Amino acid sequence: VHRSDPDLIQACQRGDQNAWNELVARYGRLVYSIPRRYGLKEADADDVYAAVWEIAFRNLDKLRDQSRLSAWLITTAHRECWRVGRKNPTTSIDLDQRISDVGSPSDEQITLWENQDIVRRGLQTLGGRCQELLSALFMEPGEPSYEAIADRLGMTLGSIGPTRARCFKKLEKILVDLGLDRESLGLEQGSQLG
Amino acid sequence: MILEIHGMGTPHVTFEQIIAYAAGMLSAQDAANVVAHLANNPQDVQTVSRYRLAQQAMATDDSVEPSPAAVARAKAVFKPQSKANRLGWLEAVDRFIATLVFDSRVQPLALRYSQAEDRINLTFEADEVELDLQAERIPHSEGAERWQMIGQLSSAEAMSFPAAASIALTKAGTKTIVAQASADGRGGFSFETVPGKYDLFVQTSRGVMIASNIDIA
Repeated sequence: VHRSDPDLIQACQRGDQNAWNELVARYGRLVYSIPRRYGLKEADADDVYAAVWEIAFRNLDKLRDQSRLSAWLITTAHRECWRVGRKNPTTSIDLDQRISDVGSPSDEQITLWENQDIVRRGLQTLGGRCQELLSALFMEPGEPSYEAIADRLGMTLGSIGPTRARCFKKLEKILVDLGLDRESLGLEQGSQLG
Repeated sequence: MILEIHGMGTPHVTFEQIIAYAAGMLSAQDAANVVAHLANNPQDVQTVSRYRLAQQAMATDDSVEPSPAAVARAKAVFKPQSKANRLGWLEAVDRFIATLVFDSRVQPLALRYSQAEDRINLTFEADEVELDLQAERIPHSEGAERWQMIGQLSSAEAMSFPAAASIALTKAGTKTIVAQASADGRGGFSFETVPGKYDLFVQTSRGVMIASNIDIA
């Protein structure tokens, strides 16, 4: 059963360690990826990751919008990257070039990272053959080779289209339940259809 | 199973065709049929958007899984503060407010303490209990400014204080605990905290003593 972020936060406030573990599992990859994307070394990324969760725990009571936890975690990780990167002169990256605004990433960047995280988790929830097929179709660089995918998954070429539609129908419901960003859907409608 | 969708006065388009359109796999003629269908079916427009969004998100996903050690460290951050823990002894019926009898910031000429911006000395009294509190800015603390608060409880009668008395520092006017401690055998305790206004609750054998509105800054 999928528990919403506000449900988990409130369970944490009641002292539920399992709820905290679930939050860490849910957003661990999202948080850890940010320092790595900014080019921080593994040890520094570990420090950012730990600091973000410590800050999150201390501020659980202060979150104004508990449904926006993922955006809050991204912004906090962004700021910690800056702090850790500045503190460590041996870091090989130029944070000034990678981070234009110390306070927060752009809204577009936050939305993209949130959506990537939602889709990845959605595919995991979907599981099975559907996960394998949609992952192969989505992640294949450039034009996907249907022959190669059919061969790899042991499917007939003609079954890929119907199976893709059936699987996406299931995934779409999961993505909506996970809160796929509606604003970005609005942008998509205006810019890509037709 | 293929879902069939009928728009009003538009071509008959299947769900499979909509997804094929979203994936860019239709001929120009079939794509035109789907576009005409979408003009009257906003729900299917959303499906196309979601498909493309999912495809774009996964194609550009460069996320990295943290190590098991890092995950374990993050999970260990959690320190339960159950509701019962928050409201238990703090809600005792027998509560008494301690009186502030000394503040080094407003009585800087007192002989017992020298004036310093990064150190505050306070004394509270309530019935037979006296609380001396010293807050000192921690030099070179990383990140947010931090202060160490060192307390000493004593009883006017016995000049001692029961060991393991529970002490909680809360945000002023709330029951939100920001630090907890137990007094040692001589009535001493210490916390680390950030600047702010706090209430200090001390559990004694007679009830709960409250030193309120302690301003640390």
